[in-house]
Amino acid sequence: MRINKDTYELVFIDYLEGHLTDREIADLIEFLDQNPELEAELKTLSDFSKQTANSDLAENNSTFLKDSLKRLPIIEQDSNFEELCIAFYEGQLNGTEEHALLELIDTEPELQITFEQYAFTKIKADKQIQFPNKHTLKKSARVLWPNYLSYAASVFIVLGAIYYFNQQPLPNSPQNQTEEVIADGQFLDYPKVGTEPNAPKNTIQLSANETNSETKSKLRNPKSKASKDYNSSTNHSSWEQILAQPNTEKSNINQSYKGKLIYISPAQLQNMLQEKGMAFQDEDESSDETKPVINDYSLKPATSPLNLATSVDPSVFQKQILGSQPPK
Amino acid sequence: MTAKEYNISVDVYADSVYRFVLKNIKDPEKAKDIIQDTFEKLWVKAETVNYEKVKSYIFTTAYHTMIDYIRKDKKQTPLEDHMSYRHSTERQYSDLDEVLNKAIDLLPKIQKSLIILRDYEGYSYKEISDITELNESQVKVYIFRARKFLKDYIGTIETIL
Repeated sequence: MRINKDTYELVFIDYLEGHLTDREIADLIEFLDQNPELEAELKTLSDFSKQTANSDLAENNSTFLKDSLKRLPIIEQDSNFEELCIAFYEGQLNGTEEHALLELIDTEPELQITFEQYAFTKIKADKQIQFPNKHTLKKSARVLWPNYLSYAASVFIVLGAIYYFNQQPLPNSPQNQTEEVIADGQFLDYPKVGTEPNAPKNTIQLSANETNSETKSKLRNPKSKASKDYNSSTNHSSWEQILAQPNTEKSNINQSYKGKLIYISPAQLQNMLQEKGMAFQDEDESSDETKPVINDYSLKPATSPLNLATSVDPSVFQKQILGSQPPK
Repeated sequence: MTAKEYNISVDVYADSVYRFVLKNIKDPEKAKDIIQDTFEKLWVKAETVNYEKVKSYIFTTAYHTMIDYIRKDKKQTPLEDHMSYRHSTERQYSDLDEVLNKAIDLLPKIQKSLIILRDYEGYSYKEISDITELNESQVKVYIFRARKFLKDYIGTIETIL
């Protein structure tokens, strides 16, 4: 900014605030050399800045104004008077100070113009200016509770996860093994009537048994009573009926009841056999000679003790193990 | 502060803080953005802001948000460019308010903000110092200097006219 008699006050302020560059300071010094009468004004302005910055104005905002008022009768510098004018319009003078200032203005008509000019430095807000679309700033009340909602949702998710996983069987549980075996169709292989003559004592002896055609027909129809009994998951006679099905029909049965047979776990079967005084033999330990004779129905290689059930004649199993007669 | 109190704050203070920002930056779109940001910040802190002090919080947040906007805005016209208006003898002014508004725009930004807070909202030096993070003495000196500048500018224009 070029310094001249119109701009020197701003340059003075910038100088006192340390905003001038070296070049501008040099221009200022040159300007003061050409206008020595303005040096006093710069000095007064500098004193004012130091006084206001260093004094305890926070505790008593009008201290320096009181000092200035005491000098009112001998005022020679306009700046002191102007400070009092500003203080007057800023509401920083008390009643006595205001009275003294007004008396001074009355006695010096030239000061009246300056005093009135300061009255116009107070700006007023244009109330017609309003923020448009104020409703976009507003919020709904429920949004104020995000933390509570998130806490509740978290607890709900955790509890739901715990409940869900508690409902899932363990991968190696007996129930799961049973389902897998049945799903593979191994469980439904029908044993041929009769046994190997040299069957070991430990092997369950199979006796003659006739296929119940009526039962078979019922089993082929999933909606039959036998099927319903079968699906009840607790009916041993239905379990036996499944065992009694010929191989030619196992596919139908498999399709109808695949994955639904959960009756006896291997451990349960083993316990039942032992309670009846019947030895349990894992197929892995038996030789080919010890296996029951299977004519046109072949047993699949045993993968678990559950396959022993496939070697048992249904009626014998019903009678000897379950202690009841097979259904007619 | 509850949601209801927040919405009341919007009703009561949105206009005044908008006028304060708009007077400072002279850009309605940016002023709207600053007000949006200000009230978003207030909403985020709503649970911790005391409703009794919400006005001070709003103006403080708006002031500092505005400062950030100004700093980021590389296209702000330097003060020196504005100063050329000051001594333009060809410019005509319709009334004193227009002259004063022009003079306000020529003030250094900090003085301009202080004068607006002082005159628009009637804040005390202490309240202004809290908002702007200046000490009270600085606030007072800046305001006195701004008044003197405005008076001189008005006097100059009156002389010209």
